[in-house]
Amino acid sequence: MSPGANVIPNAGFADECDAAHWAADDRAQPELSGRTYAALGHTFSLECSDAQLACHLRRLLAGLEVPCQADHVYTIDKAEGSDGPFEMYRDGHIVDSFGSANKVVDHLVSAVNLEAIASTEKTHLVLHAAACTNGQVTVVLPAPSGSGKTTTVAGLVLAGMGYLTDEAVAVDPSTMQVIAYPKPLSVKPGSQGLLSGLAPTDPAFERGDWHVAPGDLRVDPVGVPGRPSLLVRPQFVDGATSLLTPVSRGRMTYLVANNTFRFRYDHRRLLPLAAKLCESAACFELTVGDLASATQLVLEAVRDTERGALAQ
Amino acid sequence: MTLPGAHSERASSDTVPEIGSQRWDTTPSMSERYAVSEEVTAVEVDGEIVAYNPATTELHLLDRVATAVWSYLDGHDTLGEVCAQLADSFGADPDIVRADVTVLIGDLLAKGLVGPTPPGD
Repeated sequence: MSPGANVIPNAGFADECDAAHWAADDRAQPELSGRTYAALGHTFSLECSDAQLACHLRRLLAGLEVPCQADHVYTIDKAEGSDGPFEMYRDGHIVDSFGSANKVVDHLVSAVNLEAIASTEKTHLVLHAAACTNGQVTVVLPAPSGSGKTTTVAGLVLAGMGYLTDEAVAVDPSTMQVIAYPKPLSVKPGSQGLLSGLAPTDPAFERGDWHVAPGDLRVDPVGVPGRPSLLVRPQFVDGATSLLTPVSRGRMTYLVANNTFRFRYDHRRLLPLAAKLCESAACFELTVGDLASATQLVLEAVRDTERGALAQ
Repeated sequence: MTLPGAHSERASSDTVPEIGSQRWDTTPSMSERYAVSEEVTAVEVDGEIVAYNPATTELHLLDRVATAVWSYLDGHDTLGEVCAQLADSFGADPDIVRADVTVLIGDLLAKGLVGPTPPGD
């Protein structure tokens, strides 16, 4: 199956967010009413006065929606009948003013992500990484920005893996299990050519990063995480042949540590945890040339890991 | 016996800031005792050391041979004595071992991962 074959572009969007529904702008939109969200340890609710944006946010954040006590509230306000600007508030305090809905979404996704990391980085091992799972094998893809984390995990989820995150992998130090953080995928302009099937259908959201709802990749997209047994460091190389190369667990510990949030402040706690994460995992570096072949290489490693062929 | 030595890549500046540095004379002496610097955090994973020096904010990966040498750097024996033990353990030519270890310890000194142990310690 080639990535992209089972893309569901904005599945259900038209049904849930038709224009007639948007017309009822009574300030705080019912789309978000009563919904609460958890981004790792950061819990929040949303209020939005713009019906179309409220509907868009509901879809984007669906993976994070859980019944919980929201510790924070983000409010997005747009003057009625205007095209903007949008004002964003956090707990009643203004954050900033934005000239377009796309920029508000950019800022909200980024702010929630920073808060999510901050909520766990002092107690967990939090990696700059993407992750997915098939229920048996949890795959973690640690890498700096621009290496292809989002692209690779999107390809794997399109091919049937369960999505866990594209940005921050929090590992519980007591169990070494990953905590799901199914945020919207942030597809940077450099990766959009490889994931053209995920292009926003609404022109209002097509500039800059594409924020893609996990539900746009496939039905029931979020997986149940476990302890990582496959660690793959991706590196996108334009025009290269995709290649999956085994690396030592020492090398992977080095790569994991180098992509650990707060490492410089807490290295005595975090370096042993990085080593523990790698000690029973199969470890690889992945050159991502074209997405389809890179995805197949990782899926083969997943199957080998599942069969125990890579267990050491 | 060859000692490929320590491999290191500088940690990205957005994750590890400069907080100062401490450098030793990087010419090792066979009569000197050396030990891993106290501030360095290190773990061994499948025969390879991963070490972080907060003074330089650099992570380092030592290969298996460098890791074997690292395990002898406890500040107890002189470097000459360490080389003799290594030559014996590996069944290698002592002169080659001394030459390789000199290069490796010079590299580890330059990276601030090891330092000389003061006399009497």
